[in-house]
Amino acid sequence: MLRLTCPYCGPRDETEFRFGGQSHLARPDEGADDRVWGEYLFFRDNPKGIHYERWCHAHGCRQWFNVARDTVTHEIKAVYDMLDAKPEIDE
Amino acid sequence: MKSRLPGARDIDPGTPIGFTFNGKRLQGLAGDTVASALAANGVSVLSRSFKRHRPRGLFALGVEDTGGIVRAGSGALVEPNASAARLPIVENLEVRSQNHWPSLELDVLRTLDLVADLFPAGFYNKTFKWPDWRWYEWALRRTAGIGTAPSRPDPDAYAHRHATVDVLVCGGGPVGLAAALVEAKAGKRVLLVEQDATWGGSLRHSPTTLDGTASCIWLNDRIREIGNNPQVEALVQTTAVGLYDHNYALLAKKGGSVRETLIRVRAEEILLATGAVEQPLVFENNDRPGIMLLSAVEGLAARYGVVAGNNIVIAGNHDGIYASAAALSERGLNVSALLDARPEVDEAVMAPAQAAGIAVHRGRLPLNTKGRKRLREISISASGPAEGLSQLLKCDTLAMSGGYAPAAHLACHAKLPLEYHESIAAFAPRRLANIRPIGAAAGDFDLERTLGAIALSGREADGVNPFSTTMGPRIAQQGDKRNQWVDWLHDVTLADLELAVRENYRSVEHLKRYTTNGMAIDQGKTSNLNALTHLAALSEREIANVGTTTYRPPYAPLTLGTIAGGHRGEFYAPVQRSPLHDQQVKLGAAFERYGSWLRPAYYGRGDEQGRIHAEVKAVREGVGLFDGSPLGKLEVRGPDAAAFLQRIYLNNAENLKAGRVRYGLMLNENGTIIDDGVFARLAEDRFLVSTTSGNAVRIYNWMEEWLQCEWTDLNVAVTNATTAWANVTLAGPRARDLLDAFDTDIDLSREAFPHQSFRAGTLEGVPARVWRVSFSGELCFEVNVPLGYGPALWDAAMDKGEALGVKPYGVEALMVMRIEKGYLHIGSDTDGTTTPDDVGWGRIAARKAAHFIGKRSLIRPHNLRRDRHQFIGLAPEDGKLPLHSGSHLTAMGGDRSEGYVTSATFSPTLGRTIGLGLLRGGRGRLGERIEVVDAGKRQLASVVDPVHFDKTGERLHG
Repeated sequence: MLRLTCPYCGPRDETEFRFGGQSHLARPDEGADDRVWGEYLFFRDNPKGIHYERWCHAHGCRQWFNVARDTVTHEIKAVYDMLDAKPEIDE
Repeated sequence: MKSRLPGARDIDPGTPIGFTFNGKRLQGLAGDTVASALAANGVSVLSRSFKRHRPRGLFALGVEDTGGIVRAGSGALVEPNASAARLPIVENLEVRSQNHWPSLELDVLRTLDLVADLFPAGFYNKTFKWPDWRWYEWALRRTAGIGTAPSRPDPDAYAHRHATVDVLVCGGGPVGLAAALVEAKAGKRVLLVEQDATWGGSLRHSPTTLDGTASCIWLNDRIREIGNNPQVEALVQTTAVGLYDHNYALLAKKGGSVRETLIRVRAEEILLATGAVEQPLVFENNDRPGIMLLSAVEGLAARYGVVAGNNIVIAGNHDGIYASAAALSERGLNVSALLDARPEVDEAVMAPAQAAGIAVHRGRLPLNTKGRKRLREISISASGPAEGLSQLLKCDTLAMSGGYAPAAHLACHAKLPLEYHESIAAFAPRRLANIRPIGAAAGDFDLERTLGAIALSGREADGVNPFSTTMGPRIAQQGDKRNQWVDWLHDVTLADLELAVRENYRSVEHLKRYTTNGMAIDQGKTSNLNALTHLAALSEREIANVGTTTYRPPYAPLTLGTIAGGHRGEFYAPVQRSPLHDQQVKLGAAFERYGSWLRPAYYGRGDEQGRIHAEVKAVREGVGLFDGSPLGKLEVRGPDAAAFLQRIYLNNAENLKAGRVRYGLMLNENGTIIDDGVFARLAEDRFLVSTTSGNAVRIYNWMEEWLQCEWTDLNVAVTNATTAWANVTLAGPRARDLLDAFDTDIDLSREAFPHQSFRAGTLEGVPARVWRVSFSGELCFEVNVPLGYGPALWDAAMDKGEALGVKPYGVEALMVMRIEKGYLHIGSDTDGTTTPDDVGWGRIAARKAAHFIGKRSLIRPHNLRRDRHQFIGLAPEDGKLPLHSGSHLTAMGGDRSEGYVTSATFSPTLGRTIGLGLLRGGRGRLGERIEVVDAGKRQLASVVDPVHFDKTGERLHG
């Protein structure tokens, strides 16, 4: 079980959090064709390495934040604000 | 009971304890395990093996034992598949052997051993195929599995505990004890756990000298020091069963005030002092009772004072067996011979055994054995290709030692890499920064050196230090391979491994699953290494290149009750009770769980249908009272509240006037319906959203996620006020008459307070929020008052309504009424694919120009198909026949499902069965006759409009 550091409450067990999937998704505008919209709906990155994802401290402060996690080692490389850009991380 | 040797470490000779084995009364001593007590009573056969029903005896004294799998206790407290080697005896404990019929001695299924060729690896895939597997399945299923599950619920209590420590030390042998002390003295908070009931690990059965003192004195000093150190919590009978990400460990602790406790630990650092597991030798008929690991013979003597046998032969492949032989001999055991697989052995190594007068046979391993219920003799030969006649050795006990394999299981859970080392003929784990195997668990068998390094620096010595100058083979490679056991518990032999390899199961993971080697409850602690070694030899690969299978949690069997802990029965999941709960109890409500809520299904006992129908009648003809408190109540506030809900709902939120209410559908981004409900505008910047009862939290979270992650420019705050308000719903043609009896500043008249509107005011001086919405189809007022006033409001409504014949109604009556009205119930009448158009909201969706969640998906090609499942009503031709949700719908005489019944009930109002359903292209098929198929039975129905009752809705406006 992961230990995540909520930017507002500090380190907590994974059971306090809810996983929100890949972060930094850009929503196509409504004029997008079916292929573009379908890819937005159903296709997600599945990297072996750094994954940028969002988590919610559901059983705590209920705030969402971003996490950069290494999917091989589960090492948490960065925790950053929901509105921040993707940080540069050396793998 | 035979007399015990003096000086036994774990037992109290002065405290006898009585227990039974297969009904026979026996006596052991305090401190005995079932295994040691049975050995002391001369019981050789403890169980029958899994597939071939061979007699099996004690094999080892720890978690790696394969022979003493028994049933312990009686009644509901019975524990199947308990390990005799780890189970302490208590007064009157009932122990029974397993896997035989009618008795352990007279097992009919032992004949399976005679036809063992019918059951090779993967037999179920090939032997019983002709003419049909089903001909054999019943009989085979009866023989499958070990042990019998208890027939009654487990009455024991289990607990969960959480712990955070600086250092978790797994293993209470010399290395674990020393390391825990050093860490504690450095100021760390230490949790030290030992799976056995006693400390000391290998020191308990192979005494030595440490730091110049006898190991028993060294051990007692360390145990006392640890007991006096407040920084260390030391737990015996506590097994680390799994390691997980970020240094998270699960421990199972036996005993205390509950049967077992699951301890979840987060440790900054984990030290794995789990020691090593002695490995067996492989030769013909190596599974007879009396053949056991050398450490078992040593442990029986040193820990329990039990003499394993009258005539002991030791067989092994490394230096250590000589010292062990001499030590056992010195204790007074009769060790008649010693076999060493290695032809060349240093004289100094052999000297102690020779001095004890033990006949040493070099270059030999056992070739075959005899003895049905107990070993009688062994034949020996050269370990190379056999030459000449074999020699017979009479003995009743064979103590074997194929060296020691580091117990790398926990390291493997934590994904530490394993490396094969020729010097110990085993795999050892490497270390990570904060998870470190130490001592024998790391392949470092130089105890003095390890302890020295720990004491000096708090850090252990580096690298693998072998326990022997050279290593011989563990597998004899002679004789009939069908009778050479690799996995004692699953009856896997060398022949099974060879068959698998012939059939090209060359990957170690495939070999394991095909033969089931290492998949029994010991998880391959004594079988994996020999299987890998043999696989490497067969496929002419290096063992290092063959690799190992992946060890996964749990390390040792874990009772399901321990995992569940207190989360069972009424504590399985939290229950929410309405603030009006006590009122419903007084009225005799029959409660049921609806989501997390405990709600009245109906009122009274017996004749459920009749009672529900009477409740419906009361609402349709007079007035009914309903506890609607669980309905979701989300307050949405802020300058952008309207713009926010405009995006959340398919329906228009921005043009809603204050005091008005609108029905709305919420979609996800795929365009499918996730919730419905009503929302009211309280003011320009303030809305109240009513969600379905089961979805309040989910929709609250949904709104928060959009606000925090996507629409961060919107200035809106959402509050979940669901449990802050009690909701008393008054429904029926006399509902207004009842509410009029209250003192309120809200004008309740039809003109001033029409259907689909909302008023806030006071009721009997209490703040009240009143909705005019209806799920029953009748005139209806949903009156919300602050939580604490709810019971008084309910009681008053019951009192004032007496003259009007008021009757409480439950969820079931409400469901009957909403089906009569054809009102959607999200999750019943919709599934994960249902779009607004499927349920008749397509035109509203198409007309809304503004953006809302899911809008773009509504015009994806699949969502525009005309043959989608669409919401319809069903009128069975025989209105007396019941209709069941989930029944499939077909065209007349058709054999393909074109949809299904989503809701159905007998309508007391209409006097016939009615239903709702999703039907392919359903809206265009009104009037068509179709068939409803339920478990093979067919009935006829007409496709009708979903609204079965009061199509014009005039009753709503009351």
